[in-house]
Amino acid sequence: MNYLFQRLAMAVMLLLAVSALTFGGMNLLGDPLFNILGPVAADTSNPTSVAKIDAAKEKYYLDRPLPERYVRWLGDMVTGDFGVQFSSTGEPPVTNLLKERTPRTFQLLVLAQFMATAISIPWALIAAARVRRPTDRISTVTSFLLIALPNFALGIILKYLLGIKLGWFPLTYTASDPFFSRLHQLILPALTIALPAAAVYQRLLRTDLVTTLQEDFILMARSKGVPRRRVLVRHALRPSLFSFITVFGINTGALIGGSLIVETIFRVPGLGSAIVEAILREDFPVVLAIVMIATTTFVLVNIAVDLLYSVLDPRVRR
Amino acid sequence: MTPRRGGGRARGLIALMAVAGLTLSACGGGDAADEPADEPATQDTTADTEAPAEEPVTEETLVEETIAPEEDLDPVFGGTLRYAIEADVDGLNPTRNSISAPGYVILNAVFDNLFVYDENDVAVPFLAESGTPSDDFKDWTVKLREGVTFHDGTPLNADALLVNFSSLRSSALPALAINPFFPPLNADGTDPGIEKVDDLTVIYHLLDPQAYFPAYLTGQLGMVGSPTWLEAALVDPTLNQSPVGTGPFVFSGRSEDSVTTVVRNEDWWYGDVYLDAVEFMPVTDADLRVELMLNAEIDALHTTHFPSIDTLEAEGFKQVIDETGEESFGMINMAVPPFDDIRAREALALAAPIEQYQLLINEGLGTRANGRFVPSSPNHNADVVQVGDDIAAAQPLVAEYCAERGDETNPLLATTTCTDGKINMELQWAGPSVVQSRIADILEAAWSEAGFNVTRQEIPQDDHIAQVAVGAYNVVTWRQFGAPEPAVDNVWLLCRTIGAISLNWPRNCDEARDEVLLAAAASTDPAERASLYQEAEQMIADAYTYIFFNHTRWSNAFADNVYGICDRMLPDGAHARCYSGGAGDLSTVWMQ
Repeated sequence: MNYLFQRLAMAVMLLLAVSALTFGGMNLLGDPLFNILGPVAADTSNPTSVAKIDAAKEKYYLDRPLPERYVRWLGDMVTGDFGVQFSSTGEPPVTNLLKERTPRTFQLLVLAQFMATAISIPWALIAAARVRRPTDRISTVTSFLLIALPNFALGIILKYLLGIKLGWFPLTYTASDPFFSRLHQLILPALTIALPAAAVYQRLLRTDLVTTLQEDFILMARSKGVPRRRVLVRHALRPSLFSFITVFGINTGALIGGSLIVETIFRVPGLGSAIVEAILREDFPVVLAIVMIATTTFVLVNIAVDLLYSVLDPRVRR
Repeated sequence: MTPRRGGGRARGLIALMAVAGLTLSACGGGDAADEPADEPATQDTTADTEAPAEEPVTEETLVEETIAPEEDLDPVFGGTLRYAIEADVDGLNPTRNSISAPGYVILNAVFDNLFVYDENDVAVPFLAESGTPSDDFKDWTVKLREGVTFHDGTPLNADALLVNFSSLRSSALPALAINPFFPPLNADGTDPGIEKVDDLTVIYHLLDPQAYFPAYLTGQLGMVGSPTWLEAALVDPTLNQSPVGTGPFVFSGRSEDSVTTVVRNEDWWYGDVYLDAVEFMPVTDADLRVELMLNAEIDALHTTHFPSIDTLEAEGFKQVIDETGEESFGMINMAVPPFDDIRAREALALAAPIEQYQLLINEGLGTRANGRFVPSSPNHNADVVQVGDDIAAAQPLVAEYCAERGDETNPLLATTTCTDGKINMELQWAGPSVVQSRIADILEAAWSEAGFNVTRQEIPQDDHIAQVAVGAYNVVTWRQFGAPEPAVDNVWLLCRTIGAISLNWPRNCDEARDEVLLAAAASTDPAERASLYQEAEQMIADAYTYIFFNHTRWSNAFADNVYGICDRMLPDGAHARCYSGGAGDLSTVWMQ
């Protein structure tokens, strides 16, 4: 329990640090007034416009010191209020945007991680079972190719081959479609994220499996006549999963980053495309909200990974 | 503008006499680009067109339909049309949001206009029953049809028009295009621009004689929203995303950047609507729109991308092509040095690589523009030819300018106007955009050779337009004009639209030109109007504030199973104008 509290305390510190840095960075870099008022923000010679500028500053607390604004924002944020978008066409609550977009990105990432896991484990088992044989060498080349290939290039290739040439998958995502249609539409983007991740997982798992397969307990199992496949899956796999799980957790952050591009390529209106647009428009509340969601997700996944370590090996808890 | 019904797979090619427009959208960006045309469009336009300098075009090349035969086919109810538009829009409230071509595609489904263009580009009553001018054309009495209700059950009446007008007048950007033509609000807050006569009648009071005022009512000013909804939207601006009109389709749902859905209005006052629903999907990439069409994932699209139009034609899709809308051009801010000096502007125009633009950007497919009107337009001035491709003629002008005014300050760049005998300038465009960057490359190469130090500035489209609106630019690439009724385009040209925030973007105030333009707007004599517009064209060319590249070619393309395109008949029995720019009417469309 003490271990869990330590991890949670570290997570809270991390979230505070990220939020402070992001809040400071966003507020120092741009002028949000322009997004709230449009051209009026630059019309400082006109008394009517100046009145609007002053009113907007007061309304959005832009006339207050940065630390005060940060504390206000933080206080609202922990109660689930992310504020309103900086927009000249209204003040839609950021939570509306998050409610709409977060499930799409999470579906995409969960599907991608599921696919990456489903691909990498059998792939690593096969490669480890045939270590230094042609199958393993082909596997190595393939995994390096997938790791080296940027995901935007992979996305375009997959889209062309599986979407345009073979017509197996839709080229675009439509939010109004039924759930299973949308799931079908997410397969190509998820595969684009999953394949490089699967290659990384496979490389690590294969290496650990090869090492584990040289352990005495494996030799013992083999000498008892346990079939090779059973030895791999039942005896070697579990103790070889440490690196896999570590990278699985750490990679969550990379996948969230990768989804920015993939969502754009496949026209999935999720958090990735929202944050890109928000950065361009200097819509700080949206940027901050998405950064916090991404960071929180990353932290939670890694806490879960840490907890999983202790399940796999109770010595970690000490 | 009825699609021809011919035989087999052959595509009919119909020359259309009518050229009218719909949306006036000023837009940062060249037309050949696959750019989201998101911007402050604030009115409707009419279409006039322009042609290549050497090779006059016929109207066949300007507006055409490639619609497959539909004989012996009766419309059927049902189906969901998926329509890929080039960009999403900020909001769907015609009285609050700036509406560009993709916005009009959506709003035309939800709203009816007081007036619409017929196939001869005459604005005729639609939601209005009549429009009657005073003798001096400064007052227009508009009477509404009786018994029409909005989708939320609110009745259409004069009070509804008053609420619409008030909401528009108090908006941030759309008002900029409306207010210059109406008297300012009274001190007590009442609006002298509109007067209620009875429950179904209002009078619009204009500042100037406007013989073609109904043309204004074919656009944003004439789209009528439910007053109940508009008043609620003033309190809760998020409602700007959920429009309520009287149109053939009822707004159903919207997921920004993904899909906006409208469903059939079972009780549309004007008749049957065939489609169950229409899904408008913003797809900013022109190539992807075509791929989606080829993959049958969508049923319709619009595009200004020349190669896409070519592909769609090669694949045999039905297309309505319209070149009568906006023009693409370079635009110069003459309010500040160095381009407050006509020598600098003329040098820039002379050095503009017009031929290269046609070849490299438009792939030889575009129609070159010399001004706002096509040769077939009576308003076209054949004597006006866009200069360009003459670097040798530009260089002495640059040298002369720098010798005389090279020590002044370019406030935008905070440098002297000249360095080492070259004029310092900024070229700004909306991005990120591959095509716009290519355009910048071509322009920069030619202008550098002529003696300009070009500082490149690519910024998001919203910022780009706002910068232009407040005059924080030297030179930009732009897309604009093309109103079917040229008087509607006066908003871009009159002195009165210059201010801290201008719609006369180049800030070129020419009182003599204003007189000519306003006289043309007041005239009902076609010969006199033509003469006046020709005179204005010469004045525009003489100022060197625009460097015209080409006419935007819009294609509205449809899958084989889509029928009833451009079939709307108007109350007076005439055909409605088909597609104009990127938008048209979907009330008659059906699918098999």
